[in-house]
Amino acid sequence: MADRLLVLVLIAAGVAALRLLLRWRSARYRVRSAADLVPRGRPRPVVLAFSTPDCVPCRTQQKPALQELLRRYPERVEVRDVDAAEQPGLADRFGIMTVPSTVVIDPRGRIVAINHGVTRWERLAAQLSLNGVRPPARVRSQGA
Amino acid sequence: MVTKVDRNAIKFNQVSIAVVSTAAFLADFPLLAGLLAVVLAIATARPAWSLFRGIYQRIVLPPGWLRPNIVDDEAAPHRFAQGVGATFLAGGWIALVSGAGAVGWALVLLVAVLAMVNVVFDFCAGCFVYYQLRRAGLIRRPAAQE
Repeated sequence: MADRLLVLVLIAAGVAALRLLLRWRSARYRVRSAADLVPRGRPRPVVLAFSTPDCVPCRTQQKPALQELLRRYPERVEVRDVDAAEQPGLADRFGIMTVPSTVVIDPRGRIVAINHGVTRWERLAAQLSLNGVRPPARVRSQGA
Repeated sequence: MVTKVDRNAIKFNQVSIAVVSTAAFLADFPLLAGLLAVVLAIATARPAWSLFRGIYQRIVLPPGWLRPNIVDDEAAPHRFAQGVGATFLAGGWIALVSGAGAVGWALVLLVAVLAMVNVVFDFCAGCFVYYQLRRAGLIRRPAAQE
């Protein structure tokens, strides 16, 4: 029994290590500038929403979350849908590994977060400091 | 096809699968993994006969331990994922009764881990694999979208 518990602990540690690895990987992509993706005339934050046409969670979970973000903060954030299969170059630029994924860019073109998997609107708003909640300094990317 | 889906029922199902798989491993009880495979196969073929759905609706909901979280969603991918889980568990059970303990428990625990990763991190492992296969050119785009 003890050896089996140890196996479970090791698996949990492995999952945690993978998550940290993904966070570290995202941090490497976040040092790059994305100023070219910020609207020029009226700079405001941009959320790039990576999806594919056949991705069901993109449609049923991520899209409603993005719509809620836009509903609550109209004019304060821009959401751009990106078909990751159609634009692999853009997906590679941010190290996109799965869909849905979201890339959060502040008005100065700095990449605030790269989120792998479904991200709720509250988290996106926090990453952009739209709802008055500032994200922890080192916890700005998520994933498995 | 978009329909109304209780997301908490799905999460309850995933947690139940992870708990039973882990219990089978801890107790070194391969039959439990085999039974879970049968339960999931039945739930995939006939969702109305799902054991965990029945427990959720008859035991968990009435006292208010959980509340339904009804959203627009598609049921088919969840059923597909459940079918994949049933297949892995069945494969694990066959491996276990064939004497391939490490392979068998690895398959059983893989189901538990992926279910919990989905619940805790909202990370769809199936989406990840599908996307990577497509990037590698092993899956083509549907003809209608080309």
